[in-house]
Amino acid sequence: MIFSRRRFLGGVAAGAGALVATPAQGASHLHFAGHPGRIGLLHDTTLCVGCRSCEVACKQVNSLPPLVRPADDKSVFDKKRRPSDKSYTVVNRYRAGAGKTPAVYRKHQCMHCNEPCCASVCFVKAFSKTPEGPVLYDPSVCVGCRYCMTACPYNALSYEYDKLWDPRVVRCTMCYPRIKQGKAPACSTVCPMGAITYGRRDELLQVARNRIDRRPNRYVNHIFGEHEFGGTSWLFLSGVPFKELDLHEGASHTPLPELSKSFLSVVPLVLTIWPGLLLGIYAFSKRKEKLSQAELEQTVARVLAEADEQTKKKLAAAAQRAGKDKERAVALAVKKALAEAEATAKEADKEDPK
Amino acid sequence: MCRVASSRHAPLGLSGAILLALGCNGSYQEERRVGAEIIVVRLPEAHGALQRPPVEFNHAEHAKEMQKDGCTVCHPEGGPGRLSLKLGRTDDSGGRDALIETYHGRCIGCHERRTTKNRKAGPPARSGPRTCGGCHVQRPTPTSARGRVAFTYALHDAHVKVAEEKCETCHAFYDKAQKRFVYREGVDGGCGDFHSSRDPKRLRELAHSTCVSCHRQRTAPGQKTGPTDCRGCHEARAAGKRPEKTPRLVANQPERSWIKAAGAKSRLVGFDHRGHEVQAPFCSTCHHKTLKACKDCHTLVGSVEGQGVTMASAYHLPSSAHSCVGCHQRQLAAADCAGCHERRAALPGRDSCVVCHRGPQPDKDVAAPATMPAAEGEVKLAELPPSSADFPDKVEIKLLASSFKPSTMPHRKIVARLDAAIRGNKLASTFHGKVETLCSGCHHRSPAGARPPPCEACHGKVDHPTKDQPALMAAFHRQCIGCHQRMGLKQGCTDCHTRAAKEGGR
Amino acid sequence: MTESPTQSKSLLTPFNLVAGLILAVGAYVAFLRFSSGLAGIGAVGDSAQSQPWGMLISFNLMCGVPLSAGGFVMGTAVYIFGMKQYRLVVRPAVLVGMIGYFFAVVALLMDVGRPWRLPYPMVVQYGVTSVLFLVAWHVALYLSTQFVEFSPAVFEWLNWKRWRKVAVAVAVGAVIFGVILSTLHQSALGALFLITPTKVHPLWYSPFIGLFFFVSAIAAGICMVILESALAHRYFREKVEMTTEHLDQITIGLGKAASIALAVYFAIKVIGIAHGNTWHYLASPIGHWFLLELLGFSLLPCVLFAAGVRERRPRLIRWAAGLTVLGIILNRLNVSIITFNLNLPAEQRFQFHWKEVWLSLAVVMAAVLTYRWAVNRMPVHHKHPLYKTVH
Repeated sequence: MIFSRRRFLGGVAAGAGALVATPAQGASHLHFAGHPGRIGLLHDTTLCVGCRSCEVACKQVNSLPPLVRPADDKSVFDKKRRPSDKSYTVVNRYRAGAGKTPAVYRKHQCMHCNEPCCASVCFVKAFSKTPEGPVLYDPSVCVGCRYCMTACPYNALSYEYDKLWDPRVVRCTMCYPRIKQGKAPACSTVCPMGAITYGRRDELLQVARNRIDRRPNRYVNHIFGEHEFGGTSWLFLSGVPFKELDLHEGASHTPLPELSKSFLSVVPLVLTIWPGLLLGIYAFSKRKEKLSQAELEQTVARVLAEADEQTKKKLAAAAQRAGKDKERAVALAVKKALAEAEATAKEADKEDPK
Repeated sequence: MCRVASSRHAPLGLSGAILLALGCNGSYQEERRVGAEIIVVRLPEAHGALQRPPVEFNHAEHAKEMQKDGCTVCHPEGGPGRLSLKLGRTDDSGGRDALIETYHGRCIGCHERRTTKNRKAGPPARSGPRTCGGCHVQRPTPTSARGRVAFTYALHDAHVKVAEEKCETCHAFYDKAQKRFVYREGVDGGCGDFHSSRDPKRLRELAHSTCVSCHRQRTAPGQKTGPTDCRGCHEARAAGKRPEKTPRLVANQPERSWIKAAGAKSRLVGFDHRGHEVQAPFCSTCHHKTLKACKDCHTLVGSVEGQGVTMASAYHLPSSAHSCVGCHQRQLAAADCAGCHERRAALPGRDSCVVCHRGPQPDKDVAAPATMPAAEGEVKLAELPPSSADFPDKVEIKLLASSFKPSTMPHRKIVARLDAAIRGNKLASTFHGKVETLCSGCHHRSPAGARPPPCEACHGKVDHPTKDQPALMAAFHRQCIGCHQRMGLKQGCTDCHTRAAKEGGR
Repeated sequence: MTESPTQSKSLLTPFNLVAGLILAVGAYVAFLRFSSGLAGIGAVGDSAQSQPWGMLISFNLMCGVPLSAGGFVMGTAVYIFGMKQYRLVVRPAVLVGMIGYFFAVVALLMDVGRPWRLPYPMVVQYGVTSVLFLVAWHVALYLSTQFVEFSPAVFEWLNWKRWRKVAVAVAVGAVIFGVILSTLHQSALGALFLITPTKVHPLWYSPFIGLFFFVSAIAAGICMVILESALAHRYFREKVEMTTEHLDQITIGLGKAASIALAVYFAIKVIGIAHGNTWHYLASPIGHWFLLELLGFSLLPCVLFAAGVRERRPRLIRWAAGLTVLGIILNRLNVSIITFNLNLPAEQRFQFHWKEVWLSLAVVMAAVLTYRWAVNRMPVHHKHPLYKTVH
């Protein structure tokens, strides 16, 4: 046969070797800093005045229903809002104004993280991080499990619960179609204060640093989104501690999907070790059963054998005793017979005194 | 079930008990602020770890309750005419147990006496806790609202009148040779001059015993006296400028002089001391440790006396509360100034040095009078040029073009208002120097002059992120709204431009 | 023993009436869900967006799965560790497990936005970085495995002798496969929350959360077997072959195992606190709630089990088992709902909507009725007359 077993095994080994020989792409000492030249947006919250033009523009370009309450109704800020399936972005007020100190506002939307949790947790890979920067969603495979919404640390995703046949996960798309046409996202175009600056993420980081340098009394000396949880495309400058803006101050630089990895890496190990382990235990317990069974039989046999021995001894003793009894009985009988004979002889002598 | 707690289950139960204990006793931090009248009573750290939480003692309430009995019920005499500030003792020599016994004996004892049961006659009195947990309440550590006492010129003047201008009533320097307190005119400043650097705790004791004791003693009818409770002195009060009626405090200080220092090479600075006195609430705003001149302790390269702070830092450090530049920087936060100045660089520019350093070279022999000619130090601004006409500004916004009509900006009105504010302020006019300096407040990043370039000369239709240059619409809004925010003016959308007819979107 | 139970008795027992009501309204709510989307059963407002997983996931799935762990625990004990004395409870445990997983999937089908796409992670696109991918695959495989494990009973009932022979032959392999799957997906349900450290309270969040869920699932499985065997003994008397003495013996043996499992769980939870250095949270109100869960529903039953074993008191063991089951439910609800997103305003947190809760209960009721149906007909608690001497 041409295709011998030896050849087959050799081929498998060679193939495995070839796979292993390719350069390691998941080497843990290296750090992927993200696709170069990717875009970002810088939101300077010290400039935001809460006019909500960004919300209006976002609704226009995404064909969403208009604002529930008009933009100049400031009472909308009395409650913290979050993005919903009808509003992909919201502006919240975090500090009320007092006298000449203006109020503090921040716009909230999908952050288009460098290492998105939504992409990591989707079990049908409906999300993807583009090299340009935005994170995109593919509704054609989405099952609607909503794990992405649970996982998003910024609570930026929403679900169209009121739809029956085609509910989607919806969120800010960074106006990807507009970006592809070379335009800026709608919110950054329309902001009257220029509180949102659109450009290359690395350039925007420099811009943010310059702003802090020039006016150190105005800003907290930190750019949020540069490194938090691996970094985001949206960068924030603030005049108040970021914690007050409901952002994760002091967040770790480790991307959150790494935390899932620690568990998932154990899975193949369990899949390979458990069968051996369990079969081993099974074999041991079977063997133990067998051994105990054998021991049982042995003991029974031994006991029986011992019983046998004892019976034999008893019989021999009995036989001996019987033999002795018999001898004694014979001797007795002989004695008796002799005695009788003597007695008879004496009697005969008496009768005949010669 | 009775046999559950047997030795076999003990480890489990024990771990559970430990966890439970942790849950009940741990400190769960929250922010708490308490008023000035709350004194936190606790054993000094030298006596080891606390067994019970510190007691938050409301002195004001107790003082009010015991008003009729007077302060001596709790505070014994600590010296001639003075009260000891400590409860029932003059010093802490007794040790830990004696200290605890003092407090428990006096506090609980008094509370016991004031119960309805023990009072023989009269209406029921307010009493306090008699159990441990009633006073030693487990709470997060508070921060006190007790602020620094603002002893302003006005207050000083009132005290001067009461002491009938006898300075030695309060200002006293202990002369070791004469073994008594003497007052050296022109030399001794406030109590803090001597005590705050050596022993702040002693200053606190002195201030309370001297000040509060004196206030207490002035009980005669018609006698004006000061506060005897904590809040009266310690509650933060705005310390503003010296009221005009308060006479000037004289302590051999010059009216105007050149600031000369050995080794300094820059042109001399002409300093109007008298003009600056009204700007601060007390001498120690600038003379923060002693009445001597800054350069006497803060030498060119720094000295031990000056705590290593060099002369340059002492006069120029922008973040300092006592330096010239620091105080001038803080003035920029005023509403009239902040509109332009908050946006500019945080530090003064190099061209502002010559505004102060205008005098003769130090190595040149200066004319005999040490005082400056009066003409130096006054700046007169020229009148506004006629080119500042009305500037109607029409703005078109792409995406929201339907939302707002163009805005008309009253340019002349704005310029006149700011100009008047500058002319009325000596600091502003000195440092502005020229009228045109005002223009570069809004027409920034361009040469100063009477005909500066308009906004659209540099700001295009789109952002320029690399240069951090916003688009024209954002430029207008940031400049205008930002300034209005800082000056406390109207900032609503419709305050500047009217809404157009609704065409969707809004 | 094998005669139909209902022919001589009326169907209108109180239990049946209540069950019927629950199912009827449940069916209506299910109809609402499938005619007006999830919003029709209460998924509206910010709460539905910030707390996307409601009762159907957090209770039916997250609680149902560990409570169905009895199948793999008893299977392992009997077939792999060779503890033959428990063989009479294996089949009921596998039945409960199978029904539990099945109705967890039913609840899932109600909850996901597009239930017809549930097989997608199996056949369309693989999101291998997701812990949920693992859960999906494993639940699907495990359900099949449990069916294989239970199939001998089905085949005995149907009297398909050859099928039965095959099923019995693959039993051990199925058990081993089931243990591997169970280890992974029980812990994976906990590992789902590894990626949400900002949302789960630090006392419940730990890198070991998967391990916590796995060990507590073992305890849960054992306790469900204890409870189920006791309840079946009482309410299906004529179907149960086991004597009371034998049941008590088994209960005491299971109590021993439960005590050890809970002791281990308690120990690793304490290690978790130490590892995360979250001691100071124990002093807060939420910390007290955590201590209630840990001490009252894990440590206390552990001690009660030990006492019950030592003093040979099966009734105490059963109460302890009930306490543990409540503890498991409390723990899963704590992680996924109660301490989830604690720092968000109230309108963005979990809110009760009676329709969703009713649907959740209706699914549970359907599971109970299915269990009753199976026990009444199949040789679960008794041996089939033809196979009395086998196994």
